[in-house]
Amino acid sequence: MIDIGPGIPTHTGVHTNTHALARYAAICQDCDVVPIVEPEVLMDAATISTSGYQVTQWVLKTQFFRPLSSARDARRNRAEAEHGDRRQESAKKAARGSRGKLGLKHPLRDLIALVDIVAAVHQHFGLDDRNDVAVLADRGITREGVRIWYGPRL
Amino acid sequence: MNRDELVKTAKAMVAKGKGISAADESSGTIKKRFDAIGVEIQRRQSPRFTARCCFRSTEAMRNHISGVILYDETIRQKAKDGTPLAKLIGAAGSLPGIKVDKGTKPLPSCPGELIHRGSRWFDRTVEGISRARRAFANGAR
Repeated sequence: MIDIGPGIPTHTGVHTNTHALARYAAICQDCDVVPIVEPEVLMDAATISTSGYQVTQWVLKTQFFRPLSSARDARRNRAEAEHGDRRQESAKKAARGSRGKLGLKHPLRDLIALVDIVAAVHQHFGLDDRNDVAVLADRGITREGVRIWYGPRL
Repeated sequence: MNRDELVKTAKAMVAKGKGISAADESSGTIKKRFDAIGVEIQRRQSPRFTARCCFRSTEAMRNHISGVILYDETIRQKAKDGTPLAKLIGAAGSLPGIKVDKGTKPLPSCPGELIHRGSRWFDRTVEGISRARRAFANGAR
């Protein structure tokens, strides 16, 4: 849970929480339980502001987004490992399915297609390949959250 | 790790037209909500169980709720006939899940910031795995 106030959140706070959530998710998966991780930046009237936008962007990037280059590598490796000869067809199909569903109401349809959605988000919004990042899971990305995240782009 | 099962569960959680019901209020939080509408907790657990059970048996839940996030207390609860709540949810066509953190506490050396108590618990990996496995055995997916 990330609160916004004078001097907070700090780097230590955001990264400590992110690390803890990552450990939690890994342990759950090891035990065959699907983890749900919430990017819980508290949203009240005071936070829907410039600082709210910046903190939300920062937390989401830290917790849920990965650089496109990493996403492409991960997708390629996964496709080679799992789909063999069908990898190109599979990746295209996943990307096509994700792209059409992006927008304000786009709750993540398929957690497993995460890396494909990352690529689709970049393409859809024309984000910079190296510095911008993508994607998320869960109710934390509400309509308001998405609007704040993309700001003037939408 | 059974990846196929994880994939199957994750896809079921995000099925088209369905959402996840977060019924993972802690005992303290749900007591505040019951107090606000004038419901008194007369016997330990029973009102909370009844409330959660009631809305879980509706048709809307069957058609539109892909999963239910329970609290540590509720996933171990049973109906009067001894059926575990997790099984009831499964029978209604949803997936039982669990919230495993233990609320928040102040983050040391960071005034005003919080960290989930469950994260420290998960730092003690052996105990964390043990608890996650117990949740799995209780029906959490």
